[in-house]
Amino acid sequence: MKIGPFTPPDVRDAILWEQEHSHELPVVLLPDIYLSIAGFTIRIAAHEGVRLNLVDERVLAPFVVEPMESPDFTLATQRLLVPFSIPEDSPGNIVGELGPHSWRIQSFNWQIQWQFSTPEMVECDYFKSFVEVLSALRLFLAHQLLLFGRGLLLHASAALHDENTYIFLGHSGAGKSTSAYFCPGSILSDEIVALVAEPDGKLVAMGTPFGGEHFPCSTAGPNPEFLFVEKSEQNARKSLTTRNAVARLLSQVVLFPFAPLNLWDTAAELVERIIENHSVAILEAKKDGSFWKELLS
Amino acid sequence: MTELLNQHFELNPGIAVRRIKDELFFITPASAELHTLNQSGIEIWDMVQEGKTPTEIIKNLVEGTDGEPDAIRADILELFNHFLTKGILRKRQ
Repeated sequence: MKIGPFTPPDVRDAILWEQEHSHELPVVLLPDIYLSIAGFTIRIAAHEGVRLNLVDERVLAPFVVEPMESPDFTLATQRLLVPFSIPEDSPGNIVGELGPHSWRIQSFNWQIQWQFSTPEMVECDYFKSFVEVLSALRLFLAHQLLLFGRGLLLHASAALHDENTYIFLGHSGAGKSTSAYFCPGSILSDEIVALVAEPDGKLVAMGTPFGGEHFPCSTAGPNPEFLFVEKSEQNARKSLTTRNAVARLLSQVVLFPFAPLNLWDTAAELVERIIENHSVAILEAKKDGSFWKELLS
Repeated sequence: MTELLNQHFELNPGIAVRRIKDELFFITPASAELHTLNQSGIEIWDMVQEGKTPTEIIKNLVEGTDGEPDAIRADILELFNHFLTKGILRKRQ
C-alpha cells in the first residue's frame, strides 16, 4: 500500500506512522492464513505467526479463504535479521534463476525458492515486514501463472462496471490509478491485475493484493477491455496497430528477462488471445475522470 | 558477404516467435526486445524456414516480383544482417 491522492485518511495516517516510527504500528500475530489469488490457493505458514498491521489486514481481507486440506502452495516464511546482498545494477533490483528443476528469485528484502520435486512447498525468507512476503509472492505467482498457461499478471489497474471490466495500462504517472478510481463501479486493483484463463478459454481479470494505493477486491471481472491511458486535455479513444498493441501489452506483463523461453512463449500466446478477442485501444483522458461518461455510453 | 549469401540459417532456439494477425513477432528474452515482420517479411521468413539461402531467396523474389534486383538484394542482406545482429537467426548447425 502506498500513499496517493485517494488513499483513505486512516490508511494515510497509518502508513505515515509506520514510516516515522519504524514499524511500531500495532500488529496482530495471526496463525497460518489461506489466500486465493489469481486462481491459486496459498497457505502462508509463519514460524512466528503472520505479522499484519491494519493496512496489510485490509489489503489481504478480500483474498482470505477458509483453511483447506490441500492448497496449491504452502509458503513457509521465515523472517531474517539482515537484508540480502545483490548486485546494485540488477534490473529491477531482482536476481534469480528459473531453472528446469528449481526456482530462486531474490531481492534485497526477500528470497523465494521452489523445487519442481516438491511443487506444493515454497520457501520465503524476508527481512522486515510481511509486505515483503507479498512482493515475493507476486513474482512467484506471476511466473506460476505462465508456467501452467493459466494466465499472467499485468502492471495495470482495473475497474468493474455492469459486467464489463476496464483494464488501464500505461507508463508510471499516466493515470492508471486515477482512471480506475473514477469508475462508477468497483476497483479490482490499481497496481497489479491478474488475467486468468477460464476453463472455456475466456479471459477474466482479477484483483490482486499486490501494491497499489486503493484497497483491491478479489472479484473476477468478465469481458476485459484494455486501455492504454494517456493524459490529455480531451477525452478520446484511438485505435492501435497490432504491432503497437503487442509491444505495449508485452511490456506490461510481469515477467523477468531471465525467465525461460516457455514462459515468454506463453506470455506471447496470451497477448495474442487478448488481441484476437478483446478490445485494445489508447484512451486519451482528462484527469477529472469525465471519460467514463463516454466510455459507458 | 558471399559466405552469408550462400549460408543456410535457422531460428536461434532462445527466441520466442508468434504470428499475430498479419505480423510475425520475435521476442528476445535476454534483452526483452520485440522485433516484427510485416506480410512481405513473413514471405521471406517462410523461405528461411524452408531452408533457402539468401541467394535463393533473392532469386525467388527477383523472379516473382517487379522489384529491382539490386534493391531486393540490398533489402535481403539488410534483413539478414539485422536478424544476425539481434541474435534471432543463427547459421544452421
